[in-house]
Amino acid sequence: MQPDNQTSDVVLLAGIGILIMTMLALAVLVYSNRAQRRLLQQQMNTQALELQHQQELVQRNLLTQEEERQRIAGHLHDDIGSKLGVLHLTFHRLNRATQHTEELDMMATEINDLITHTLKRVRAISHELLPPTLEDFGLIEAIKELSEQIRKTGAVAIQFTYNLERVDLGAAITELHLFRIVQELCNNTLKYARANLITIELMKEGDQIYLKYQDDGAGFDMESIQRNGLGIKNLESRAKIIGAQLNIKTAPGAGFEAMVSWG
Amino acid sequence: MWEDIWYEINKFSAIIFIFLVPSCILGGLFWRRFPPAIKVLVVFLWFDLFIEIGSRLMPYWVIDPTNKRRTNLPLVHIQTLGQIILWPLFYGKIMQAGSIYRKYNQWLIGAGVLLVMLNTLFLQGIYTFNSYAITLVQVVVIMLALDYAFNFATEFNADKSFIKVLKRINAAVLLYYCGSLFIFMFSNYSTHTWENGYELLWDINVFLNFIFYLVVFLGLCNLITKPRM
Repeated sequence: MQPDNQTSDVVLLAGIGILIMTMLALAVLVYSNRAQRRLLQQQMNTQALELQHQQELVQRNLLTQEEERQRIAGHLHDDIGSKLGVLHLTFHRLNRATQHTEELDMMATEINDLITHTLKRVRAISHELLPPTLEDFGLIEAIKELSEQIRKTGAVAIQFTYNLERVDLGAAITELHLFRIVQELCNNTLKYARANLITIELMKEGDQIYLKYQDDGAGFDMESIQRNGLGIKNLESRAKIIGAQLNIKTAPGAGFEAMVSWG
Repeated sequence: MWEDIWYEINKFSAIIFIFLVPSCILGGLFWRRFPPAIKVLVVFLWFDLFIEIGSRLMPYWVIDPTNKRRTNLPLVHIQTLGQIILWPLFYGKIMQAGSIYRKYNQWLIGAGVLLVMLNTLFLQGIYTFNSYAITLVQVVVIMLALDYAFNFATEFNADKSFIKVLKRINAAVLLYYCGSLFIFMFSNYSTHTWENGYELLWDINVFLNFIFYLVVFLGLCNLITKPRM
């Protein structure tokens, strides 16, 4: 059948229409795809900035916390501790100068016990806030002391090995954050892991220094902890503050390993 | 009978079955794993398969009483009805809660069904090509696809691979319905007047339809091979 002029015009018109609509659809798809990508990129950038801001806040928070701990520990030890010491001595002098009766002796013993106990508590709190061993002798000795304290509880066996010296660790703030990391990890193991053995290694290999912490406990699902746990975030922030990398390997039933490396 | 079937199979338009049939089979086999939107799409594919097979068989049994010619046009009316129900349902499930189409989805389906039926009853009867209704449905589907394409806030935190599949399917919908809009719009002019031109337009429609089913098939494969849905 041959087309008449009107019919062929209609088909031509339809053909042009098809072509235009297809091109339009393609153009719309390309444009919307590009615009959407741009928007997604912007959203990702905003999210990254928010994350960075959050990390900075956590780091600032940790630093403030450490400064505050140092300040309180200093006040407790130097101010309240020394005044309690003076009070103790003065009380002994007073006790010697006073006539003794049975009632007074009882009161004197009570006061003496109270002052002694308070002095011990103040010292302990001050040490918890900032271990003097860490300040005076460095990280290695502080970890040794911490290991000894944990060993004494009898809850878990602990091994600490190292092949470096205090000078290799650099600034005191590095030692402090590393100590806090070890402290936090030990607390976690004691609280949740039901482990038999903790192994801590502080090693130097060439220019690289690493702190490796392992336990043979219950382990956990890393994803669920990362979503909810502040502990891991604090560890990451502390590592970041000292310019180190933190890698954690764990799974339910497979123990726990944390590696802090830098250098 | 077998000669007729063989003739139908050898037609160019049969290429749409290459991806339509496997898509329908995949849809049935993995039905439970699919999210609600894809289930609607699978129903659409089954419906389309029924229409495509029916449209090839119907002319052997149905004759238009007005001109005594074999016809499958009643199925086109049913297909139009199916499209105005299933596409808004599909888009209603993938669009964001704030979308205007999602909000008035039921009204859109109701009004669409009513208009399509009124067209069949009073304007273009069951043995006439319902070009008005098809054009209306195609415009609605194009608007839905455009709305989804420009819905830039689409679930930033949603399952990325699922969104990717939806975007591809939407692109295929937009391309097919835009491309075939003029084919259906001019169907009544080209039918019975210039067969070669008519065939050419339909072959373009078949090709666009083939692309659509190919993309849908690939999308379903992506969803099936994905570890978690």
